[in-house]
Amino acid sequence: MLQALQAGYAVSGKWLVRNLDMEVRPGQVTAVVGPNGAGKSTAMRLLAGLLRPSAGSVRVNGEPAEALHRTALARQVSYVPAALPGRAAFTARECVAMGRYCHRGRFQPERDSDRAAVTAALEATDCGHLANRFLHELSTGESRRVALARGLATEARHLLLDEPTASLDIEHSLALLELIQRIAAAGRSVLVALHDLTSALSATQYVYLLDRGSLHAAGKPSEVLTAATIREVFSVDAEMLGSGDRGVFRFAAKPVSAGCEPPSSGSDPSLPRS
Amino acid sequence: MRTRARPASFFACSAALLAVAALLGLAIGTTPLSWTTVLGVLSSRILPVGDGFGETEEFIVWSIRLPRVLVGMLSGGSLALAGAAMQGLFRNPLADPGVIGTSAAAACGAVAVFVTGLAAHSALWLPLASFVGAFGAALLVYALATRGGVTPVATLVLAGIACGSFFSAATSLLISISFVDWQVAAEVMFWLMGGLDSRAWVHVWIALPFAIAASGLLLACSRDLDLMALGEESAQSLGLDVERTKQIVLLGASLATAASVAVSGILAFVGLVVPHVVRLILGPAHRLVLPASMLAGAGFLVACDILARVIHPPGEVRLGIITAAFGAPFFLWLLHARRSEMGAA
Repeated sequence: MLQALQAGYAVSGKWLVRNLDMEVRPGQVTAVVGPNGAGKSTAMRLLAGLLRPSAGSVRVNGEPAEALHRTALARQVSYVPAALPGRAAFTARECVAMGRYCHRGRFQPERDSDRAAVTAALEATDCGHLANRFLHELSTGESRRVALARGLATEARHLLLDEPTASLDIEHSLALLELIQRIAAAGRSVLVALHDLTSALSATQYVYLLDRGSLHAAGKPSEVLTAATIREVFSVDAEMLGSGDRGVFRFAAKPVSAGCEPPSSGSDPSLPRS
Repeated sequence: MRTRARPASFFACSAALLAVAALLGLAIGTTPLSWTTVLGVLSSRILPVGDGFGETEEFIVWSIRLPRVLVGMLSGGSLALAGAAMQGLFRNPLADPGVIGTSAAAACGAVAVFVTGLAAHSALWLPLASFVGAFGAALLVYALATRGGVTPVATLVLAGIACGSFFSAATSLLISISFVDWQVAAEVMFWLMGGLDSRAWVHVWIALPFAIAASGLLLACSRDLDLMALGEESAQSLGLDVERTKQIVLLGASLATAASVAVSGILAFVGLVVPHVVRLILGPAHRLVLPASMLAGAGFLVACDILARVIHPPGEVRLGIITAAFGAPFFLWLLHARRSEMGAA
């Protein structure tokens, strides 16, 4: 189990996130949503153990993450960045094989178990045919899947994916979300930072909604992602078409102009958001 | 790059070329020797067989040319290794041992020894001062770039460039002061241009331990450097201690740079060009790139030294001029031909 307990992170006296109570559960896809600057990435990095909490703690199976050795942590929690830098001329397979770093000794050659894990990860993400392609030859969608395969190759129970669908077209983004759900269904716990609220509604089982560094709401997607909360947190006009996890949102920018009264939405439109 | 050479064939070719270059290096010179004489002298010194070569031949091969060739191998191998590791660490194709100021500082230390006249007392002062300079610079740059236990590589490069300029200025100051005595100034300038002239066994023994230590440290980091190539954050998430890796690689690279500068002065482009060529042939995996760069760098420098000796005998062209004269155009060609892979597109 991966948890944040009252976790906070501050840089030079300013809290980027604070009082986060989060939990990533096995067999589920959990989403982190929120406007830009709400602290999604910071929350992900805290849970990944990439940042040391300034307050509270992040626990892996009850143990504080910072008490674990790096490689031990890497075998439990894997953070998958939004994009792999494409310049290094590694093949997809070489890249995925780097996921075995935490399992191999410094001078230990690749073992059968490593090869098997790499092959399994490539196949689970439909990347088998890309194994010998160079990273810079891959399309954005393919490169995302390879990054995900590298996370899988670590055999970590907890996968944290930072905006895996950003800059993907609809087809690839749906396929990737489908893939993520499959991975979770196979027993891992997956946390995804998402911008697309409709995907959060349909593809995840639990949602944390962040606003200005704190948790605004948490719960089932259909309960958290309502037109009212979206209007409040994202400062846009939102309307939900349909209901439950089949719902879709329709958004409209709030007309904000000097001297005009904001439309009756109940939120404060004067707060600038970064 | 669409295809990679088989590592075994690359290593075999490099080793063969290195052997040929070394043999030529032993045979060619003001007194040309046949390769049978060279092999005969070598085998009579190493194995208890074959005798009856003239004392002169034996002296030329064993005491003059062999240390020169060995110093060339150590120096070229160390520079190329340091360059390969730094390019990996900085994820920048233009990184080389000069980039964090280590070679400028090593040169500054060496020049100080010349100017103060210490160099005349013992052959050990020069390498000692180079090491002190290289480490001093590496520590200084690291300390300047580190905030709260984190050392961003971009800051490291900038701090390194600034320190490098500072040490170059200090070197120029020392040289301009030393112009009072023309002979010292000429000696310093010559040394700065890099060369393997009058290298003796003592220089081999000076460079060898540091070259071994550096290659041990850096080769042990090869998988770590692979991970770094795909971003620090994901490397850390895969279980790599990113900051520790930076420290070890900087230490290893400054050891290697100091080993080279101490025994052969400043040799431009070896650390930049050799790893590039190796990467284009073998791909980016440091497990191959680091040892292959050492081998290729050693061969490249021994070959350049032969050229330096034969261009206008009996004089010698300074080795640093040869490496730059070959390295720079080659690098430009590489940049032009392989623009996309060099990241300069």
